[in-house]
Amino acid sequence: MKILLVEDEPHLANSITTFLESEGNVCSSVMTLADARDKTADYQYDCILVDIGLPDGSGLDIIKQLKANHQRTGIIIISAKNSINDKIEGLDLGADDYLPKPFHLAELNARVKALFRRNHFAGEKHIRFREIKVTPGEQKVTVSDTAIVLTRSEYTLLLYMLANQNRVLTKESVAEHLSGDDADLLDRIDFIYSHVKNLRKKLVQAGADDYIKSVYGIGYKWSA
Amino acid sequence: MKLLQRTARYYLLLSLAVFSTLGMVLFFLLRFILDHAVDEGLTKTSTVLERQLSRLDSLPPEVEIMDEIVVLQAIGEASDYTRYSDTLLFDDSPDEMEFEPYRKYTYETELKGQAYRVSLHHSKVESDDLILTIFLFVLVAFALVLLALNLLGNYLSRKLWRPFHATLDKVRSFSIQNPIAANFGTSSVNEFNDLNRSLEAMTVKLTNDYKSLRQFTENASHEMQTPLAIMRNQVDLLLTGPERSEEDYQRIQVLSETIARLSKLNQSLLLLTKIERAQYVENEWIDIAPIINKKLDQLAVFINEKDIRQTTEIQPVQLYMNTVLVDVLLNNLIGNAIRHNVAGGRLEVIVDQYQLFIRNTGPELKRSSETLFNRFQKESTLSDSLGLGLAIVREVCDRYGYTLIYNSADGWHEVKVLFNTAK
Repeated sequence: MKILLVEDEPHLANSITTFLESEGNVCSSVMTLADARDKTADYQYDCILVDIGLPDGSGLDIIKQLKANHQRTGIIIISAKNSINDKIEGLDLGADDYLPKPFHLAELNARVKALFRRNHFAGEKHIRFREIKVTPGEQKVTVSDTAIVLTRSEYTLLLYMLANQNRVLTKESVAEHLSGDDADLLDRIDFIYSHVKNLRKKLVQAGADDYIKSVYGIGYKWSA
Repeated sequence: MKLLQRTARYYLLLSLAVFSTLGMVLFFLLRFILDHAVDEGLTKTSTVLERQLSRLDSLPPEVEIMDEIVVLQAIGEASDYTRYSDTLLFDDSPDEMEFEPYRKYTYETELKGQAYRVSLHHSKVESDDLILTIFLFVLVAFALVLLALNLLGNYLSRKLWRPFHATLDKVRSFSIQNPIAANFGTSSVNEFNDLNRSLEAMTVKLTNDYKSLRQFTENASHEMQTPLAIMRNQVDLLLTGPERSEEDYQRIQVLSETIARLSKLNQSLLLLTKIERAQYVENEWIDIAPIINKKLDQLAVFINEKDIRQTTEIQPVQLYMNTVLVDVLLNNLIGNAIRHNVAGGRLEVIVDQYQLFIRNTGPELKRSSETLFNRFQKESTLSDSLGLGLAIVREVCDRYGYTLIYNSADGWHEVKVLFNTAK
């Protein structure tokens, strides 16, 4: 995937590109709105990650421009200003997702992948991992062609892990991903354990191998 | 004590002193003038008396002449002794039978070769009556002045002090969170005008200080987001690298936890400032009953985890609120009731038209329940407790004019939110 990052904070830009490149993406980053305009005019990107507060204007402008040019680029807003109005305005303008800072890179990764899946629907409809097959459009999970029933949390957890294979996912990152917009509902950290346990049990019972590894109490890792 | 009562008291004391002094002075002055007049009359009478007496054949010891009672007393030799004095004489007429005051003029003279001491008595009853009348008049005048003072006081309190009371009402209704343009109006009285201008200046300064403080909190929270994001992503990158030692992972975990905590704290602070800044203003009619049911559903995992027995009695209730704030309110209250519950405890949620009532079992509070809704009042030593949840609840309740009541007894904690809807 070709990704453009529009972010004026160098450390942040650096860690995001490093992470996304390690996922096999081609990632370039610019720090200003003007540079972003130049880049989007010259190249076609699969996905643009754009910060709203930029030194020379609002990142929302680039969304307007992309939409005006009818570019089929996925747009994710990454903003330090977690404001509902910005979110609504951004999504209205045609952004695909809104991710408030500070976010986990694994979360960003999952969102980018989900976006890519949605935008390239003609391509891969399923996420496969060995005997496990997930059909995101239908929220269906099968193990060796046998359908299994997962709760919403377990399904979300499975997708998150599949999007971040071979990576250590901290409990905090999993908790935030699971709670989604209800971030302040309850601190789920103490309860992730039960979700992981249940998911693992259901997969293994359906005949899959146990791919979820606990990593020294820091979190979990999905690997073959 | 009212200022007016206090001033009235001083006026009363002053007028009492003035009137009593004036009364005394008047009394003695009148007495002196009247006595003097009587004395002059007696002196005049004495010359007439001598002529009349000399016409008499024999001199009786007591004779009444021209309203005067004359007493004659024979003495050896007449001197030029004269004396004015007050005395009492018994009036033995059947309808009086009492002592009456008289003015007495005594002098010595020689009548028909015999020396006499002559005493002339003139009744003072009339002059005493006059003094009494005047005295009564003064008393009535005093009472009238008191009445007038009182009426004036009432009038002043109603009319003159009206701007003051208006100002007072405005000060009372002033809220720093929701400052309506502080306009205290003008008054024709300089003092009140000064007061109003000073109050206006003060409220403007207060409001500005408060605004800048809030602005500061909000800016600080916003500014913290980016460093937090950098820290978090650096930790994430540490985890993408090659396999590390257990010790490394433990350090990374502490970092990750701390960042999550800081980030949550920051978000809560931001939420508080946003509620205070009266964002989330779009209200709509919401039935909170299904929302509560949904929350309890989502939280079923946690409720089961702690083996909490849950009782609900949820009736539909329409509230005019912002959807985000409904969520925030319910999340915090229900979340708390689960978080601070005990294993095998109980949770009761009752909702009707007038109230949201959440009861849960839990350990006794170690702190005073009065500060429970203040910021950073942490009961739990749990690291996930920020101490902002109930502060946010209170902020939301304040916003909608709901009454928030907390009670605890026998291992139960009760939080009641009264919607104050008209019954």
